Amino acid sequence: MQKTKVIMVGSIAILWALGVVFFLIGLLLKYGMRQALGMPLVFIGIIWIIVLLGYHLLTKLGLYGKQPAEIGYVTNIISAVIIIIGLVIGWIAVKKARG
Amino acid sequence: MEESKTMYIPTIIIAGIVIILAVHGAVTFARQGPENWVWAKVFFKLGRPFWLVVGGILWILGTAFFIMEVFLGYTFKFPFKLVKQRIKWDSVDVAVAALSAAVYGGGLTVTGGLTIIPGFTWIRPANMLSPIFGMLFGIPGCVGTAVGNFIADLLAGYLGVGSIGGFVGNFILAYVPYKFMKDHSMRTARSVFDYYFWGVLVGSVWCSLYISWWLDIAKPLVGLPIEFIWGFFAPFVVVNNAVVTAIVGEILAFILYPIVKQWGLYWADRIEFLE
Repeated sequence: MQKTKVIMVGSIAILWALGVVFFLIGLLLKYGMRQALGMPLVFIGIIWIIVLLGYHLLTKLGLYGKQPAEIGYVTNIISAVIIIIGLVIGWIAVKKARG
Repeated sequence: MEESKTMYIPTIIIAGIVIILAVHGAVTFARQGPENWVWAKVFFKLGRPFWLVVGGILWILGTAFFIMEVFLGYTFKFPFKLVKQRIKWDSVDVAVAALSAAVYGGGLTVTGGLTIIPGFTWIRPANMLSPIFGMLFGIPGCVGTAVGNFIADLLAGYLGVGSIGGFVGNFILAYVPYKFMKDHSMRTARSVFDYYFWGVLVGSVWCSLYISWWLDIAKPLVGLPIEFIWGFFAPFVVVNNAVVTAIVGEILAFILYPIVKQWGLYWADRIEFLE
């Protein structure tokens, strides 16, 4: 149990380090010479950090890593909301692409 | 037209083989359970050294493609000519990546609870979206798929060092059909042949071995037993990816291609190659 906890804490620390590195390198590229290369890294970095903040929030609320039925399908509802957000973003993208 | 006609038989053969393999994997898994699953036994019999070599080669290639396309802005054109590409990464490309990430990530976990084998797996229809996002949206779709899998890991409670392998592994799952299929329209025999060969077969195996190899190498940080990785996880990911992609994915790709093209979001209409 102790070993699992150490592995988990170490893993999340590594993910935090990677997320911050992606974001910072992306920012440097975006505002440096290679703007087009920086944007995907900034995008990955931002979502990566949001996911890790979500991990801490779900852990604090006692929802992380639980079976959906145990927690009233909260993660399923969050997933459905994320899909709706994605579809709205897609709709905006279509409007922009078509001018 | 003649060339297309000569492709009918190979296309029917490859589609048939891939669908039979995927369905066989899923049915035998459901009937035999994880411990006695025939696919797991075959995978495990081939031995760890074999999978370390094969997985290692695929891991190096996959990581090189990921870095080359996302970090360096280079791609390759057949027959393996390295060229610089210009993806705008304007608000439309970012929105396409966000759309892919949200729909794929949310889609993977929204059906959590529709369990097939308790504690092991659930119905994941969104698996079929990864090759489609790659085929239609190109690199923004591939990046979105990778990020979407990361979101799914959070909501499913699997976030950890293994998620790094899952991130690039899912990028590969979308990248293989995007890069290796010559025609993404799904309106010619060649296109359907390529979809089944590259999009379903090669993509599913590559993704699975990429993640499994990473889980093996990162064992001190991940903590999964080797027997579990090669004797269950690897074949399970192949089947789980392939089954919906082979049965429903091609119909969805056929429907979405003209719509995405008409909307001006098809990758080939938005990219520039600097040769």
